[in-house]
Amino acid sequence: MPITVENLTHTYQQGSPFQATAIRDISLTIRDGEALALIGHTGSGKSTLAQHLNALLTPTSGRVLLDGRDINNREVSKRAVRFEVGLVFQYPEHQLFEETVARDIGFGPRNMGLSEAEVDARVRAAMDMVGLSYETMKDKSPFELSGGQMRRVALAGVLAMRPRILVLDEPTAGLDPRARDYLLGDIARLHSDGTTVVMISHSMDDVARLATRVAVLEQGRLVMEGAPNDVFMQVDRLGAMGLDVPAASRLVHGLRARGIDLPDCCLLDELADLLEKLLKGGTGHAS
Amino acid sequence: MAAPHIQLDHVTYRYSPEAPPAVRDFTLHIARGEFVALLGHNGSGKSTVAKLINGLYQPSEGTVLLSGMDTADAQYTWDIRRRAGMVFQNPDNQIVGTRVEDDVAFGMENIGVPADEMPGRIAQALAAVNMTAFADRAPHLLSGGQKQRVAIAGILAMQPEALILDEATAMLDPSGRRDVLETVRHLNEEQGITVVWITHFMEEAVPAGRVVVMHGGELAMDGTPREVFSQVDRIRSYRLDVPPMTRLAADLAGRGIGINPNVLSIDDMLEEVVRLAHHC
Amino acid sequence: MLRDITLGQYYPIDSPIHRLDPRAKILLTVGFIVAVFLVGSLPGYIPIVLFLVLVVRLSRLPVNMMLRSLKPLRILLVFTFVLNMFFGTGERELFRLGFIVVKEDGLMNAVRFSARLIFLVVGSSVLTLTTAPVTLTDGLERLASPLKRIGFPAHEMAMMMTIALRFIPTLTEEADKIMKAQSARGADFSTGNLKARAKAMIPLLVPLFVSAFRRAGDLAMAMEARCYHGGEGRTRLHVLRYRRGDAVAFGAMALLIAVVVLQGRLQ
Repeated sequence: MPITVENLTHTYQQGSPFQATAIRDISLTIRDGEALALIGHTGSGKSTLAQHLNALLTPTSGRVLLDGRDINNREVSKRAVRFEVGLVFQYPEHQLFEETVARDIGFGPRNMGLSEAEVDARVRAAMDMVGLSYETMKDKSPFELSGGQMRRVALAGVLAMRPRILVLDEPTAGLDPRARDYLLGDIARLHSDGTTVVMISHSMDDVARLATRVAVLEQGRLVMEGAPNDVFMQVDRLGAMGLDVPAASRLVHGLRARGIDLPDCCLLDELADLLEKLLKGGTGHAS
Repeated sequence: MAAPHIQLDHVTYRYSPEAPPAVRDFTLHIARGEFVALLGHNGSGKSTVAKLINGLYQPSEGTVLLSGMDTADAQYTWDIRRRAGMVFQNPDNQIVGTRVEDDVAFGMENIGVPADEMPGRIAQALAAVNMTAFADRAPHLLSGGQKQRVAIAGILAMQPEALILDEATAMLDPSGRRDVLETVRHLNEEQGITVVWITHFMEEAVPAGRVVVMHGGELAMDGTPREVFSQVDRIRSYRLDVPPMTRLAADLAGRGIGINPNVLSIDDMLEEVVRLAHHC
Repeated sequence: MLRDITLGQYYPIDSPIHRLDPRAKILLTVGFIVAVFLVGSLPGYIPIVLFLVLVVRLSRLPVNMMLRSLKPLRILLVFTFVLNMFFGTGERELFRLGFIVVKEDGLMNAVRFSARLIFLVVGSSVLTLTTAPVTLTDGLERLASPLKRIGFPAHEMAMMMTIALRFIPTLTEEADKIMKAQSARGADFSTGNLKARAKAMIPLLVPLFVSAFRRAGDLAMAMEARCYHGGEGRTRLHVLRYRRGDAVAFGAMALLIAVVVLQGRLQ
C-alpha cells in the first residue's frame, strides 16, 4: 500500500476573508502498480489533492501515509518523499531553466546528492524512457525545442529521480494529437514497467486508455470511484457534474437506450470488437 | 458572385529571409459569414495564416485582402485590425485591463470611440458572450473559458466583421471549450460574423461549415467536415486525428462491415448501428 | 495560495474620500505634505492631527489598518527619535543618565521629526488605501499630460504601470507554481547560507523571466491586434471630472495650510 490518504481536508488561506476549502474529508488508497485517474471539473480539488501526495501542501486536517508513515511528520524528510513520489505539474515545460537538456534533467538527481556518473546514467535512462535521443539532444538548449519535446524533457526531469509513484497533472494539455499520443505511450510504458501512476486529466479518452481505476472529485469531495468501465458507464451522472464521457461509453449508452444491449465499454478499440460481433450476427439483438 | 471576405492568394511567409517558409504558396478564399475550421499540427503554419489575415504579419510573397483591403497597405492597417478581431491561445496574455469592463473598452479606446458610446457597447458585447455579471471583476480571478469570452467581447465591442480564433481553446478545460465554441457559433449564426477557427481538436471542427487542413505550410485539404474526415488515412498522415466516431466507422468498414464511412457524430453512429443491426 | 492577495494596499469600500477624483487626491496629498513641512512648532501639529483624524474618519478606513501602515517604519521611527533626542545642542538640560545627556531641544526635535514621519506616512497611505492602483495611475497620467509637450511619455508610463498591475497577480501565481514544481524535483529554497540561497533562486528566476518575456511578447501582439498604437487619438472609458466633493476638499486643504502658516507667524 504505497499511499493512503486519510480524511484529508485542505483549506487555503484559513482565517482570512479569502478562506476556501479545496478538498474535504477525502480518503483514498493508491495501490502499488495501479494507474489511478483523478477526474473532475476545474476547481474540484484534483490538483490540491495531487500536491498533498508529495507533501508540497500540508493538510489542514487528515493524513497522507507513504508506506504507513505520515509524510508530514517532522521526522520524515519531505525531500526524500518527493524523490519517491514524482510530481509532474501542468505545462511542466515552463519550469525548464538549465542551459542544456541534460543539465535540466539532471537537476533532480543532483539534488538527491548522487555522483556525477550516476546523474549522467539517470539522465540517459530518463531520456530513453521518453524517447529522446541522448546523443543528439543532451547539449541542446531546452528553450529551442518544440512544445512536445520540451514537455518530454520536463517529464524526464522527474523520471530521472526514479520515483516509485508518478503523479501527473494534465500531462497532455495543449499538445497536438501526435505529441499527445507519444506522451501517453511513454506513460503507458512506465506503468507497465511497474511505476504506480496517478494522473489528473480532462481528456476522458486519455483516461480510458490508461487508467486501471478512476476517482471522481466534485467540489472537493470524492464522489465516485471504480474501474473505468463502471465509472464511465454512468453517463448521466457524469453529465450532471459537467464532465465528459469517453466517446465509446456514450455510444454504448445511446445504443442501450435504443434497445441494443452491449457490455460496458469505454475504449474505441474494444467497442469495435463488440460492434463487429454484434453486426456480423453475434449476440446483440435489435428491438 | 460577391468578392471573398478574406482572400489569400499565393501567399508565402518567412520569419526571416534565410528561414524556410512557414507558409508556402497558400491560397484560400473565405466568403462573408462562413465558419471555417483551420486544422494542422503544431508548426503546420496555421497560426501564421491567422496573423497574416489581420495584418500582424505581411506576406513575403502574394497578397492578403480583407474586404478588398490589402494588408500590406499601411493606410488600411487599423481598419483591417478592427474588422478582423483576433483571439489568441493563452487567455492570460491578452487581457490588458484590470477589470473586465476596462478590458472590453481597451480596443474601443484605441480606435477612438467616444466615451459616452462605450458603456452601451460594453454592455452589448458582454451580453453576447454571456458575461454581463462579471463586468467589474478582476480578470485574473476568472476561469480560462471566461477569460476567452471576455477577449471575444473586447473584439465585439469594436464591431468586427470577422473573428479569428488562434487555438483559443487549447488551454481550456472541456466545459470552457464548449462555452467558447458555443459563443462563437452563436455569433456566426446570429450576427453573420465570419469565423476562422484554428484548432487541433478535431471535435471542434465538426460543427464548422468548411474544414481546411494545413501541412508543412501548404494547403492540404479543403472541404466539408464529412468530405475531409472520411479520408482517415490521409488525415493521419498529416499528424492529425479524426473524430472518434469517424475512426470507429473506418475501423468497422475495414472489418468488412457495410457501414457508411461518412460518420461524424455519436448520433450519426447510433443511426448507422441501429440500421445495420436491423439488417442482421 | 497567492492569487487572492489584494493589489497594492487598496481597501475597496465606498466613502467620500474614495469617491474623490484621483487627481484631486494626489494634489491634496502633496498639499498635506507641504503643510506638514510648514509646521514650525509642536502646537502647529494640532491642526494637522485634526485634519488627519477628520480625513480618516471620512474615509471609513479601519484605524488598525492605518496603524499597520506604520509597522514597517517602526525601526526608522525609533532611530529618528533616539538620534534626535541624544544630539540636542541647546542650553537646557532635562536629565542626565551616566554619559547620556538629554537636552530640551533634543527632545523637541525628536518629537517633531517622528511626528513628521508619522504624518507623512499616514497621509500618503490614505491616498493609496482609498484609490485603486489603476485609478491612481489614471490620475497620474492626466496630471502629467501637460508635460507631454516637453516630451515626457505620460501615456506610456501610465500604460506600463497598468500592465504591471494587471500582471502582478498572474506572475505571483506563476512564481508559486514554479517554486512548487522545482521543490518537487528536490530544490531547496529555505535552508543554507546566503550564497546557497541565492543560487537556489536560479531555478525559480530563470523560468519566471522566460515566462514574463513570453507573456510580454504575446501581450504586445494582442494589443496590436486590438489596434493599440500609442496614446494618440485614444479615447477613454473613464473620463475624470472634478466634482463638488473635490472643490470642498481643496477648500479644506487651503484652510489647513492657511492655519499652519498663520500659526507660524504668530509665534
